[in-house]
Amino acid sequence: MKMQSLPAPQTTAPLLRVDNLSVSFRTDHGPLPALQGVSLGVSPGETLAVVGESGSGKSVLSLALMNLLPPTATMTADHLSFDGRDLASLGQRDKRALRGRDMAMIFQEPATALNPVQRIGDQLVEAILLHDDMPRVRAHTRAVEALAATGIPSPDVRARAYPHQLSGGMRQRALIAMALIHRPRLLIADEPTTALDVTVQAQILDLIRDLAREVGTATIFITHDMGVVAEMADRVAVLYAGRMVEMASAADLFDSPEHPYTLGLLGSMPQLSQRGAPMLPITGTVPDPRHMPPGCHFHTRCPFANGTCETVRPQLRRLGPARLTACHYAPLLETLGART
Amino acid sequence: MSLLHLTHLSKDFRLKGSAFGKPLVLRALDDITLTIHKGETLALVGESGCGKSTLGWIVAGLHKATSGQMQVNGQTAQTGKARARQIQIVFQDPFGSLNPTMTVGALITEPILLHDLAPRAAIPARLDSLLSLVGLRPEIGRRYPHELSGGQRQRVALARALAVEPELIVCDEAVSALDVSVQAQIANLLQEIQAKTGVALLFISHGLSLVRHISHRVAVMYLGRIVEEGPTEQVFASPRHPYTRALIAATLEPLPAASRPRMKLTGEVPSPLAPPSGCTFRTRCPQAQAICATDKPPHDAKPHAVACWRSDDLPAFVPTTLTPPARMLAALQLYRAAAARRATEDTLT
Ligand SMILES: Nc1ncnc2c1ncn2[C@@H]1O[C@H](COP(=O)(O)OP(=O)(O)OP(=O)(O)O)[C@@H](O)[C@H]1O
Ligand code: SF4
Ligand SMILES: [Mg+2]
Repeated sequence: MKMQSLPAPQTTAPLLRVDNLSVSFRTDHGPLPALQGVSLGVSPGETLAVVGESGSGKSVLSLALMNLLPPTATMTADHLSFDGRDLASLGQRDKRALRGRDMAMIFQEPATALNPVQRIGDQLVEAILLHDDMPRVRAHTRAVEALAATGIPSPDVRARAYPHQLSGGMRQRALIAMALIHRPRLLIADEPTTALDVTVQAQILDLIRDLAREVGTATIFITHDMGVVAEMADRVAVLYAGRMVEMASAADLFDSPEHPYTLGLLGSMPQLSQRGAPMLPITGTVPDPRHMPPGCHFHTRCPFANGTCETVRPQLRRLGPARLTACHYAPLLETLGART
Repeated sequence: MSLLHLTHLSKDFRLKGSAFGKPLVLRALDDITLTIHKGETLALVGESGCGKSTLGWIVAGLHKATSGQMQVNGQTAQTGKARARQIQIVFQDPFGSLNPTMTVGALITEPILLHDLAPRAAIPARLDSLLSLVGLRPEIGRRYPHELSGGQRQRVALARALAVEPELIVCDEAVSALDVSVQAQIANLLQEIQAKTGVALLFISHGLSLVRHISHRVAVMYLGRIVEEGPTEQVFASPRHPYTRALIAATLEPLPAASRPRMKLTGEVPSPLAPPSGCTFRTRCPQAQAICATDKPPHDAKPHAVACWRSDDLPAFVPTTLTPPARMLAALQLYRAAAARRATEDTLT
């Protein structure tokens, strides 16, 4: 799908840039195209939110960028660079050095990302020694400092705890401490707060934002919650069924959401529903990537879909200097002739 | 009319002895008094570990209270099968609660047979009407749970609960694990079913926005106690407990510049094994004073009740104002109109 590879609009030079990224998995039931023709970039100090429902390819995207895809995956891209360096041309050694030091990731499931039989402090120490040469005691001091920076109470005690002895919020803080220990230039956070209570979520979001701001980290923040997008994002990429269907600055996206899928995500928020009236969720679920409908992948769930949508796939089109949308109707309000 | 009435209900869990052999007692629920009226939705909110699920499980008859009373329709609550006839429960993870070797049809009709509610010949018709009540096509009845999406599985769990025509369904984080879009689908469905059948709901959730949208009354829990309770709109418009305010302040709104009160809670919920003296919220409460550390605040007896020493001296509450931009509203309006048109064409998932 060459035509999807319209380069992502960017104001400053991106730290990370990927063009026309596709990922496919080998499965018993044939190839599963999880991502198709995704192009994006993120600049230092900027937070790019990637939003979409379960199964839209958000985690696959982050694993692909981190070079952590399983062996059953095939990945292709026209271009993938970090700080101007072509990642494809780097050897395994350089890639490994980059990952963990310059590029770090907070995983969706804190429970599985920590070693259950190793103390939190020791796991941090190992993460430090992986990239920095220093005496173990120094590394331990740094580990405790890193925990303290995340606001964990009595960090020296927590460092001696095993993961199961910590609450979900504390485990997530430990993971954040680990991801940020080398002051990464790029942070990929995959739904780091989805499993947490709202008050803890507020603390964690503050933490990620503050630390990222302090260090000038470029952040890719993955979520399915438009509330989190509004709170964190400078720019937003909306992913549906493995494709990017909309990209805009957060201000533009919330000011005038264009893609019907984006509207569906917003309409699913109780806050944006009319009091007393039923909410307006998107009907149905994300289709199986192996059985994608023809035409616009969203047409089976889109309330605007017409005959063209069922046969012709809409390409990403530029709607403004920094806006892309893949919908035959875009710009929606003008096309449908509504007055604002 | 009151359907369910709990008075001074408490629940202790005895844990394995500590290093010194003394048994540890975890007080999961502390002196809960609560009423659910017929046909209403009462939401139970609070952070993980505050006792929401324990309360729901006791109501559904899956746990026994340590002390206190529970009445259903004015009578001491029955146990076992008789309770299950009146009160059903739907869990967060429908996968874990649905037998994977049974078809959806068998799963839904099992309770009908178990409670002997209909002759065998009437079962297929009953199944079809239950499937349609939860918005599933008839052929889904022949599938197995693993062949369904999370939202569909939750619809099946709901149909199974509805099969015995209960008076109350406990929804224990029943939508929390689902995508926001599917959450909204199920929440709509719950409202629709309530309108059709008059079933009351105990809606346990940590998501405040959804609670505000679908509940009639709300009870806020902290460390095993109800700290505030009242009509949903009143509680959200003028919360009387600092904890409720903190929960509201931490709820994210889907608009960037939404002005929200910047009151952030620090720290985490203390261990229920060693709850703070006096008001258990005092260790995180920005308003705490000396009395909060020494005396448990009593519940006042108002319809919008609160248990807080300082509730009359709190600063004025500034509600979050959410004014969506004109273009967003216009687009949502178009979406709404188009979706409504489609909905009349096709109602089943
Ligand atoms: N290792 C794998 N092998 C085969 N298919 C996979 C694999 N990992 C992911 N997929 C498939 O790729 C698609 C995208 O999955 P992905 O995990 O990226 O979704 P997501 O947007 O992160 O969803 P969620 O919100 O549930 O985390 C899905 O259809 C998924 O089933
Ligand atoms: S192209 Fe058609 S089906 Fe796809 S989102 Fe736009 S209107 Fe809907
Ligand atoms: Mg994911």
